[in-house]
Amino acid sequence: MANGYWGKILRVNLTDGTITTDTHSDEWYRTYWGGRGMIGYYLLKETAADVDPLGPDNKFIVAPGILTGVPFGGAGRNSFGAVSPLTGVYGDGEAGGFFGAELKRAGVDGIVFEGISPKPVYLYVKDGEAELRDASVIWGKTTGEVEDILQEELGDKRIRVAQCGIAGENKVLLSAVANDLTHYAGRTGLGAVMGSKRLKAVVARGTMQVPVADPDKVRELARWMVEHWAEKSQGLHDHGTANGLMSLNTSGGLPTRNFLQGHFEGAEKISGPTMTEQILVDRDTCFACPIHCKRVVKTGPPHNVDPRYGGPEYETLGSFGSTCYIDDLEAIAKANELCNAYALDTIGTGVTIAFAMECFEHGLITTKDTDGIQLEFGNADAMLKMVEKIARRDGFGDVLADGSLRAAKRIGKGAEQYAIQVKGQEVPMHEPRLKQGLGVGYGVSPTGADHCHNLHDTGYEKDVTSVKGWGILEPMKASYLGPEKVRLLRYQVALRAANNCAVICQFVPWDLQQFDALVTAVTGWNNTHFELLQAGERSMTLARLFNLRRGLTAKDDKLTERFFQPFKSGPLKGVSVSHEEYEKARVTYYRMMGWDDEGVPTVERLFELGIGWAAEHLPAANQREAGTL
Amino acid sequence: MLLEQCEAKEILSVRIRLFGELSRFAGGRGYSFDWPLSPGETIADLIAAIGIPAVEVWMVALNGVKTGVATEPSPGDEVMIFSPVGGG
Repeated sequence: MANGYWGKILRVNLTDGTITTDTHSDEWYRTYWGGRGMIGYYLLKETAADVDPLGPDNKFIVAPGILTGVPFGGAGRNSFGAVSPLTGVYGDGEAGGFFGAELKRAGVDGIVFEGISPKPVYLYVKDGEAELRDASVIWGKTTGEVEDILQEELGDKRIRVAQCGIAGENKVLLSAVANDLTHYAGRTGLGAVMGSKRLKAVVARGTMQVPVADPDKVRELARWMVEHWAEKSQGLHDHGTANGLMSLNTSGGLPTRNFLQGHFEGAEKISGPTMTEQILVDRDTCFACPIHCKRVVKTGPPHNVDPRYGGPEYETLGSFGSTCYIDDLEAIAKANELCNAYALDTIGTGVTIAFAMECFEHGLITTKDTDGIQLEFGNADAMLKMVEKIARRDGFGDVLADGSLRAAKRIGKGAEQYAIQVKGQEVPMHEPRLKQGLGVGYGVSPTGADHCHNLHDTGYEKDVTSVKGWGILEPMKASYLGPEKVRLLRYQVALRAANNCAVICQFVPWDLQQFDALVTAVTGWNNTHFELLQAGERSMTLARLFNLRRGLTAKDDKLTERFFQPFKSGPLKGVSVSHEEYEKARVTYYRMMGWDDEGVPTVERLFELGIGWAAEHLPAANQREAGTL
Repeated sequence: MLLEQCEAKEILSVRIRLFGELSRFAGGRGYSFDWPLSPGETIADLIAAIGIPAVEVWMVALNGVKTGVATEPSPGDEVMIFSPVGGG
């Protein structure tokens, strides 16, 4: 009897409505864990190199992990994955809440959806049983309405729902997948994949206990976090992820005016403490987590923000706030509510609107193009109108719904310089000119610009206790981009990827030893930290191989040109990323990863990661046997 | 004589604002409070007096502008103290 997993992955063919089960060996689970490991495995093995992301041959994968659903802080999350319609390459995202834990407790390690349903459906998984059900009544409804209708239809208020919103139905490439109304897997346009398959939702109801090897140890660790979380995360509880906004603003790294600036005059008005003071009505949390970092906000007129949809995270305050040059907190809260009701990525949507604002400023688009809307920086009303239009692909919203890069190509006239993206995915609210290692992380990320499987350099300028276990014994300046920084980036990416294979939340302050102990206590393996980092790196390598097979090369690991321009003002006036340093760091990363100078993993590195089978997916020019030249 | 005795001596102070994960070092004062300022006291001195371990401080600012811990604030100034914060 296995611990941490059931040995059951559902395979749902939406074209013919059949549901079967994939079983894998214990060795498979020990290798891929779940989450991104599961996603990378299935996408590389089962999709063709030229698969259409919105066609029947794409897979939509729901991937909890080996730790999901075990009652300790951070174990409520799950991953989702597919070939991304936004970037055209490997796509994944995570969301917290309760859905992942509920699905795992329903006896399922993961779900692989394939095909396209002839009509809208949802999958209902309850304690080992799964059925496809008609979703015509919930199609076209907001995420909140969907939950209400499903609870009524299934006669159970305790179901947990993952869904694509109206945005996903409209195949908006900035669509997210919603968990439980207030937790979103935002990046890479996964909601559009669900929408393209006419898969409206996955409903989970699970009462089973996930089997664990050492329940006493799990309880001990869970209790430790309940007693000690405040030592590291009181601020996170008090003010949410917004806790970091003033810190980034004061240091000159708060994306402002579409990344033209790093300091925003209006930052205090949209900060964490201001949100707490003015509009916060509650703090919410995920399965088994004591921290309660989630916001619940409410406002009166004119926006009447509904607390049902939670409240803005830091990324949202940045993307709709400083990036759009808006200091109206209630309007930003409304944008968050709309994105959650429609299931849109707040990062991609905000940054795409900021792109359009910059185009408007330069006259590349006018009110003739924008349906009469004065799409100017600072115009909160315009921003809110565009969120709705994007979700519904209405008018100019149809142009922006495909993300800033495609919109730029449609607009032409040099608009691409205003699209702040990497590999087609919008850059999140962290500045490479402040965090130089993060910039390299943006460039090499398989999913496009991403701040989660990345390094936040500012955290390692004073104290490196948390990473001494990797042999990193000296602090480093955030501005430093030498090989020691690249080494830290490499390990941090592997750790974050391991978070996303297990799947556990990176905001719960488990240290490296505790993470290892959780894996041991749940699975009963004689695992090591080396093994954990390998699992993470393995999942990123599978994604890299997938992308190489799609035709990506080292040229695509480039960072947006804007970050190579110095800031004209603010605390980081005159600072930029240096092309020379960036290129050196990129090649250093490849070499440290055991890749060649073109960013292709060597055959030997694949065998070292235990995925020698994947060598057949290397580019033809790199195909050879291990040990040959 | 009585008037002189009753005359309040002016208390010089600065406004301290804590950000990130520093509130637990403030002895229950929360995120924002006044703190007495002596002549020649630097921000580093204030941090020590409040009881915040130096290693926990990533950055400081004076009246909203980033500065070093050797800076000497003036009475009525606002001192922001930040711990390192990651991403999200």
